Amino acid sequence: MIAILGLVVGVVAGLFFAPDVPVGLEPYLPIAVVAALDAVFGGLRALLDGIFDDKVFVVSFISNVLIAAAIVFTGDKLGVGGQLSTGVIVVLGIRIFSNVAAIRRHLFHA
Amino acid sequence: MTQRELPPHVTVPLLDRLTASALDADYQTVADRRLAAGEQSSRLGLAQLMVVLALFGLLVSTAFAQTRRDATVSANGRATLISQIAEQKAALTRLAAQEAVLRRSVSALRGQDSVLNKQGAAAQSLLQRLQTPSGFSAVHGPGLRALVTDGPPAADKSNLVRDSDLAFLVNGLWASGAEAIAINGQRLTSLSAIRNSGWAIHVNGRGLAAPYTVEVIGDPNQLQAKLLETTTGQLWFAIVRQVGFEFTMTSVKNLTLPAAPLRTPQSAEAIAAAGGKAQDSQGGTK
Repeated sequence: MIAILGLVVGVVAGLFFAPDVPVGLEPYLPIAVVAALDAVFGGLRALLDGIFDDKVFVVSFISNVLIAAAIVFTGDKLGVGGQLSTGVIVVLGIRIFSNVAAIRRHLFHA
Repeated sequence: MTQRELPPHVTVPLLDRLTASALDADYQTVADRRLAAGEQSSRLGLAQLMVVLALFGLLVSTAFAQTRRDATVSANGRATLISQIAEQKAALTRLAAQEAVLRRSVSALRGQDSVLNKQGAAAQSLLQRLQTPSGFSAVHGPGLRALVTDGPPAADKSNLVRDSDLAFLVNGLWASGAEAIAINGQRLTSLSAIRNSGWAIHVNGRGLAAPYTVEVIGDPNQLQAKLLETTTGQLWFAIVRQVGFEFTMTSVKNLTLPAAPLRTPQSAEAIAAAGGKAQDSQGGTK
């Protein structure tokens, strides 16, 4: 699929340019990656279910990343950053697991 | 009271809710809307899709690179700390060894110090024992005061008291148990000389004039008695009778004799003596 080309370009660019993350945002990068993963797997499952919409995918991706980072940031300011980040990771992890299970069902039972 | 049906988000357990809502409900609603409008249920906008996937790839690779860099940094930090610990441990061992050495030297010095203290105390007591009989410190005690005046004036001045006469008296007094003697306030020491210079008598280098007051510290009775027995004492009394000196002796309950002026020996050097070989006073003390 041509869309995968975009993914490849992004990965190569990241490894090649090795951009420096601003020090203030550094601790939120891992959580943003997990949120992005959740959005990507959700989109993949929707695609295989036949109800994919690119607008919904873009919105879900951006909002997931921003919301997850914002939750952990607020938690840090309140002093419960570690616990909140644990909660976010748990929820996102469960969602990723469910979406991957559904994708597996599509791939191996289709 | 009719039981109202509780909504599902209240009755369904949390984990079930999470797994059930894993896929955004938006996908379904948009697809239903499109189906209702008669279009395809799925839409792929390639451009946006590629951009978002590129962004995702960038994010993942950046996070990956960042984690690797952090791991290196923290590993280096750990290595530095470990080497610092090893250094400090080595320094600690060295210092402990130094401490042991210093402790030994401290105890050695303490031993020396106590030895020197004892020597100092011994020297101090020796000094105290010596300074009284040697004449280099003022003393007081019971004794005699003798007054000697020249004989009747003669033309050739032969009746004046001479140094040798006084020497007889002084030696007689020493032999009788005198502990300290002073003539006209000049204390006699082992370095004192009684000499004539012209008609004047000099003691300790100071000129004295008649009448001569000889103050003696000692047992008054014993002094008087023994003076008559000694050879020099008898010589003295003979001269007194012969020349015609006026000679009186009175006992005094408390005499104070000054110290002799200090004279540093130029040639004489002390032999290191164990204490007690000093000039011990003869005769009785009180």
